[in-house]
Amino acid sequence: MASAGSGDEKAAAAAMITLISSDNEKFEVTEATATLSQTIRHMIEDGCTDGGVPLPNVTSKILARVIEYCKKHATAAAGEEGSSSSFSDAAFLEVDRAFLEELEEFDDAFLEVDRATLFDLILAANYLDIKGLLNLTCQKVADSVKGKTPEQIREMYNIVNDLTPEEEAEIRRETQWAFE
Amino acid sequence: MAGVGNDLLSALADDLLRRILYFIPFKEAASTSVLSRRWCSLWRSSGAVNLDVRVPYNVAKHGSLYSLRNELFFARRDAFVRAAEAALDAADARVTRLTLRVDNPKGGDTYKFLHIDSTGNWSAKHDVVGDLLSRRAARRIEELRVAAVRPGMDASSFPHNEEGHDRFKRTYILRLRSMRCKALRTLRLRLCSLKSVNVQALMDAAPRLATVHLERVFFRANRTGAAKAPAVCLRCPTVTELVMEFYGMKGQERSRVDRGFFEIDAPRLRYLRYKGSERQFSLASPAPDMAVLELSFLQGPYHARIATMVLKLKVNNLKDIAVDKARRAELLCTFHNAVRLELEGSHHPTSSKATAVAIANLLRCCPAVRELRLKLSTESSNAVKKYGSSFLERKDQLDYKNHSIASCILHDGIPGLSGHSLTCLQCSLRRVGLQFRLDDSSCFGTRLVKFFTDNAMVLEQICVDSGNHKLCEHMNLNTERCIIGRTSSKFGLKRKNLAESSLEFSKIPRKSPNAKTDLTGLATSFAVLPLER
Repeated sequence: MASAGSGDEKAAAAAMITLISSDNEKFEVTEATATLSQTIRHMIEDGCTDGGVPLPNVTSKILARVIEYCKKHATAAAGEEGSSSSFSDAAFLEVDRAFLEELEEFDDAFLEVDRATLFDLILAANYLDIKGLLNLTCQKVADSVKGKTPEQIREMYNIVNDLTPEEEAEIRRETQWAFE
Repeated sequence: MAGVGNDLLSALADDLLRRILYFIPFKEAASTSVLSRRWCSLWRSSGAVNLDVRVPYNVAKHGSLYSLRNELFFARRDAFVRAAEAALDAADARVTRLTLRVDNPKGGDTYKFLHIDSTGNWSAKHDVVGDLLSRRAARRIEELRVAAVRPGMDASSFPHNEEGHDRFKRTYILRLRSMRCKALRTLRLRLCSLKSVNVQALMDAAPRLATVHLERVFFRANRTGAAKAPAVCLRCPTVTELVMEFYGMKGQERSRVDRGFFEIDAPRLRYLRYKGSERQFSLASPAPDMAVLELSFLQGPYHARIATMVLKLKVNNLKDIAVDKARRAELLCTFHNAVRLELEGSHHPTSSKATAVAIANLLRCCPAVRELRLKLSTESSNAVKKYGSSFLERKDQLDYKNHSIASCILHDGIPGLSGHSLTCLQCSLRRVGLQFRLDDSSCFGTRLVKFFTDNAMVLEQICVDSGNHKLCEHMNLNTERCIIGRTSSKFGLKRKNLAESSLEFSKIPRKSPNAKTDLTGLATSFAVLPLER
């Protein structure tokens, strides 16, 4: 079975992969979309995607968003839906600046989610190993703490300060430049 | 809502927290050390140091306030340097990314901040950026971004012309010499003043450098000789993506017409964006699969009249500029004042439609083009250079099948090129030079000759180098243009005015009904001349 999978690699451009969320919902996506995830790419390479890929760490709600992201970015990376059929140069599309701008807009809109969803996306991006999505979501969290004092960050994210006042004073002394 | 006041952040693994810290500016990153025990030293191993600083506002030039403000100004600067050094030294994992953003929200003196020492000695070679880059932690970085930010200068606004050197005194000079850059992959500089020899040294020393964005840079370029124009010549052996936004070049003010030239040799280049005044521009040996070439020339401030602009494009595969309508606007900008367009590229006999679309696209981008030179070859990029000689060697060996050429010429129009209404064909295109090989089964070159003679309404001259004299015979036979056939590889035809040419044409027996429309469509006569190589 595995050999059949690898033998068809040439024709795999239109091959579909079924992803199964933790709540047992099935999503059918093209291989180009799915392989934005390194985790799934490796599964495909190992020929163990028949019958669907169970993703026990990802709910259907989050998986749907992740797939939305991957579809958009797979188009950019592989020219999957390139309007001009004479145009097969994938890298061309990859570097096309205007398209990148459109992607940026997409990314901005994509991140308009509540904080819980954002963190779920981070976890999913990490588990599925989708570098672009991981950077995007982590940057968003980084932006949320920019210009905030440690007290504000603690409050924002419910971080319990388990340092003794002496320890904290010591750290502040060590990295005094950060608190100026 | 349960989501409010959550402990989402604490639920993440350390690696993910480091990934978040990777994007946080240095002071905030370091201040996370007091959040809790777990956070104590996470920031030290994020792999990135993102320095950012605001240049203090410092207007007072005279009086008692001046020295006080000055002291404060330098005190702040020195505090920043100390903090930045501490942040770099605190890293206990390899730093792969170093960014420096010098913000100048109120129009303070960026140059003073970065280059003048606190004694106010202007001749001192103080170099904040250089010193930071020479820190141990900066030696193994893969990504370097240095950006000066000035008010009213966001990414979307770009001036209509290059600015002089004076404005640049307000930003920074990047010497780059002190940099260790073996691991460097990405270099992005914005609003800085550079010496091209230093950039060259960096490119030579960075074997992995692939992405270079020099945005709004001023080149303190060296003149190659006393009489020569200023030049920026870069050899970029490993670079695949290059963005060049010129702000100016030293010496260009002195020669107002000649704005210097810019030359890049980048054998692996796939993406190039150039923005700057019109100047001689040369791109040598791009990668065979060069994907995007985007040139935008800004009209210079010193030109009272619109200067003759030469656009030279060398494209290895013309298919690459054969984009469809929807993408055309995005990819190709319009060169309103391009009067001469030179295009050199190879195409595959099987994809002549793509080539035709590419030519149509370029013509559309240059609505005022007066002179067009096309060099078409069916060879790969390296062969293009040797084109001339191999061409001559081979021309005698070529054995053409007359009937195939004849049938091509009778075939009317060129798919992808015919049927478009192109402004330049209607009113500006006067001279066309074509160099092509005839051993192409689709007779694309021959069809191009016919296309331009038929459709360019104000054509005065067409020069053709087909590599074989046989073309003349076929032109005579089939397109009914009176052509004085020469036995050389080129052929020529001269006409001085319309009266004469109509006389000539009247002598020719017409075989196809097309010939009549061709003639009436021509507003002026034109000459067919051998192409000078």
